[in-house]
Amino acid sequence: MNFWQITSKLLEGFESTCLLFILTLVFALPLGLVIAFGSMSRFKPLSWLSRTFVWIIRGTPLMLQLFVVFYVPGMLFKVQLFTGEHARFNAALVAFVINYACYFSEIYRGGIESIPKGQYEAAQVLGMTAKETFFTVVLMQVVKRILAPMSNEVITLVKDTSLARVIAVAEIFFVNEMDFLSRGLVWPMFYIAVFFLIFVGILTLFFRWCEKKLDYYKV
Amino acid sequence: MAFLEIKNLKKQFGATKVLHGIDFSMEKGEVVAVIGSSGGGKTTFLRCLNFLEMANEGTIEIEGGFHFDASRTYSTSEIREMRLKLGLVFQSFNLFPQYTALENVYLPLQLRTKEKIRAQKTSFRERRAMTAAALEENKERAKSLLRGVGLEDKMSNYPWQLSGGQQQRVAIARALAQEPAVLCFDEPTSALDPELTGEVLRVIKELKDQGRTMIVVTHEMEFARHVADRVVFFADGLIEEDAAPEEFFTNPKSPKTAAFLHHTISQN
Repeated sequence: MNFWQITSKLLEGFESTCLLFILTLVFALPLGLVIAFGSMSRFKPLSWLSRTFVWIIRGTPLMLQLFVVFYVPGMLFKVQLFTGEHARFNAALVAFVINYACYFSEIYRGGIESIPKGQYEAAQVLGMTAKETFFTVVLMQVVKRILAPMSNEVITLVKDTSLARVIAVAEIFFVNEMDFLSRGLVWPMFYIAVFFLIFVGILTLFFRWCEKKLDYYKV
Repeated sequence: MAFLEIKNLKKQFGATKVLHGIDFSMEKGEVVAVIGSSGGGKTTFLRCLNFLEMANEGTIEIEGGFHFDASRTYSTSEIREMRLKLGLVFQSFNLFPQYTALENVYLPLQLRTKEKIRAQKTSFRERRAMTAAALEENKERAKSLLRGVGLEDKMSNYPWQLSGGQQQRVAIARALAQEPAVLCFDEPTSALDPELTGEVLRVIKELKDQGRTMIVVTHEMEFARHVADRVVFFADGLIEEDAAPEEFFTNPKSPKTAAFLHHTISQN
């Protein structure tokens, strides 16, 4: 196999990697906000439940969570949650979304709680409702504050996707293992680093651009 | 009944009693300076007036505005309605950093207008046209208010591009935009450098000349003496003295007032 064939094979695997990355973000970003509101709720049982959930998800290895999501429903309840051609990918996606939503929720919570009380009070005396206050006053300030920790988390996600291979999702490392490593071809494993470097490089530029875009105000 | 009438207002946080029963009233167009050492309850008094804290006991009444009775429970929207009758300017300005001076002033207005338009049962298209028209109107109003506080050339600046005094003037314009019956100031110059306090106090003085009804919690004795119609002295959660400025500063009745004045004036 020549270099281009290997590259195109790896690219196929990288497609799954990218898809897992993007879909995880699409679902985990809003879900994280829901969990954050749960944690901050004044209704004690809800905040207790949310915080316990976050503790469990952040306190156990993602690799274990992948196994649990994919195998446990079948083992315990004899139900196959994930079927069909994309069963493994979907299971991995669910595990990633839950895991990352919990991490995001803590970043959101930190961001929301860091907004000075005076901002809420000013909004209140100006007659804004809680919803208006959040969307017109608080949100953009939170976005600016959490941009740096979010970029960290998002970059970690890019690399965490490779964990999906433990339930045999055909992401880039899995492809490498099946097609090249098993035949004693070692160098593609290091070649994979280039894919990740480029991807993370693009993300870094993107976040820098975001920071620039939000530079017009200071919080 | 006076224009603003407060009876037996009490507030406590846990076991700590902060307001022990405040009776206070003022007429339309009056400017009242509230002074006193920290912990005396003057900020809590303002916050109860604006419903940032809910009083435990007592009543607040504004002529033609609302009657609040602490023994009743109110829904959030009822509180919001009452709140709009009062304005509050904060010590730390609390402008919204992501909006320009102009946006800070018209945004709350625009939200109110949108709410009113939403309540009307017209077509989406009509509502959109109305919203657009209201936006222009609200912007014009905001502009004239900013002109009124001397910031016509700073309208498109963001808060971080403004000095403290300018920020506070934007905050005053923003509070005025709601057309409150009573405008309250919570130590409006305490966070400012000495050379910037003048411009804010001048604006408050101009508002007095326009006939605004205002309550100003302040440490500026000169302001209290020369601008206010009445000076109210808070001590230990009670109004210790309530008098015309000259009377207040030259002939205080309460020994607590005398001690406070002696202390602050000897410091200056």
